[in-house]
Amino acid sequence: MARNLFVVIHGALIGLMCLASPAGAESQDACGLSGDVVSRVTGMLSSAETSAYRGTLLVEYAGNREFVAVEGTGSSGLITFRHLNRSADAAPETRAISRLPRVGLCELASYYGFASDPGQPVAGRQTYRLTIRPKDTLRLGYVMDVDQATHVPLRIVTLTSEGQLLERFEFAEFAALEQTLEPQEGIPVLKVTQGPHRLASLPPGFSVISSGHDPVEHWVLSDGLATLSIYVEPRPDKLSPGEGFVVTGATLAYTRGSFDRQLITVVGEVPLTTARLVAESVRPFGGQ
Amino acid sequence: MSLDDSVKESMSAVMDGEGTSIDVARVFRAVKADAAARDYWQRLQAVSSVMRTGQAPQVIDISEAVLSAIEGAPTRRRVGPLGSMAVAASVTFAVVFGGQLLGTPESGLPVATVPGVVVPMKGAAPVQASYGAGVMPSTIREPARTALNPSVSEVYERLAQQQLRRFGKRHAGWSAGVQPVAAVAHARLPSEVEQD
Repeated sequence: MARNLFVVIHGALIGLMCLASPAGAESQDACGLSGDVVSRVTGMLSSAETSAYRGTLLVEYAGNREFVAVEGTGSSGLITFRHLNRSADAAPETRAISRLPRVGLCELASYYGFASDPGQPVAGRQTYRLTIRPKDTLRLGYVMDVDQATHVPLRIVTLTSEGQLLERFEFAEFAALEQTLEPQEGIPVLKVTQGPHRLASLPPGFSVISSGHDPVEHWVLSDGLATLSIYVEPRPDKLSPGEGFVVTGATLAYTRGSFDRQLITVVGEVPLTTARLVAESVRPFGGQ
Repeated sequence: MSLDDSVKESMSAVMDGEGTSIDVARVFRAVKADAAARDYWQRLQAVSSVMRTGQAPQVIDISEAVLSAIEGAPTRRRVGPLGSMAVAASVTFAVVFGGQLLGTPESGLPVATVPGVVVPMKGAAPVQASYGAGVMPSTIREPARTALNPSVSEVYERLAQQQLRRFGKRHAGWSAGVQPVAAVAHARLPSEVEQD
């Protein structure tokens, strides 16, 4: 057991080290990535739309460890899940998934380094490993063991850019369902509306994929892997300007009371630096 | 005990986001060992806040000592025109730095190598990349007490927690639209998030 753990740790670290070095002897294809990496990353990114599955997911983050029964169907855009450790006979919850615009692989490769290696079996299935390392300090990194047959990530470890583990997801059991579709083209963009504020600048690689005013003025940003949402509301009179944050697993919540009487909250799977930059970029329309 | 000029210079460089790894190491060493260095470091952060906002923060008492710190600070580098990026990076560094070293000098936690990076945060610091069932970081609350009014930091820490409960489910819905495994976005939600 201990030896297996040692081997796995070394595998993950070696994967990260490989990304730090120049590309090896493999032929380079699109965006400086090898053909093998391109096909695997593309397969992984599109698996949410093309694959249906049922399984039990082990979730570990922020001192919590629980099992979640999940069922996902790419075509319907529905996900059903049930937390098995929160209450006995918990009712399953169903959510509709609005697939957001997928970022092109070359654009993604501008901000993340990708490496592909043989993976270890997960939930009794053969995998390949994708190591996704951020090229700057504005996003997190991931090590994924991806199912060879469906390209669904069966194990996902989220790390800081320094390799510190934040959270881990792993299928304890996984069954692919028959329904498998081709990737959709022209995935609809969520509604983007104009409000009393604007974002003066965005962190490199991030773009606005949605915005609205319900329940408060908000934007949703993504770089293709990470997502963050920004909420702006009036700062209560009794609340002095200031800031604070909490981190739960990979999820950060950062709140700032600005001097111009706004209360800005950023929630996302991003480092604190990114949240601060985004909060600083909120400006009233017409302001500088 | 007076503070060495080289330490002051390194502190200024780090606060400007221009510190080298040598500067950072020197600052960490000084702040860990020297109360005068800690005091100077805190005053530099207050100065940085003034320069960033252009006005005295309501929650921070900018004293004569701080003003003299401005005048007496080594001028190798000043807070430059890098805009919010450098300042935010410096402040990020300062916040975590303050929380981890000034707050718990005995903790011996690993430290950042350069300002502005994803700094090691309390709880996450000792954990290395692993698939094992090792210790996972606990929920990390705002560790910083760098503002001279710590009660404001505590208020915002609680507020951030409330906002996560308030907006967490909504955020998970959007995040699920990007994640390769949509269930992950919902599975990671704490049980106390507000329901529909």
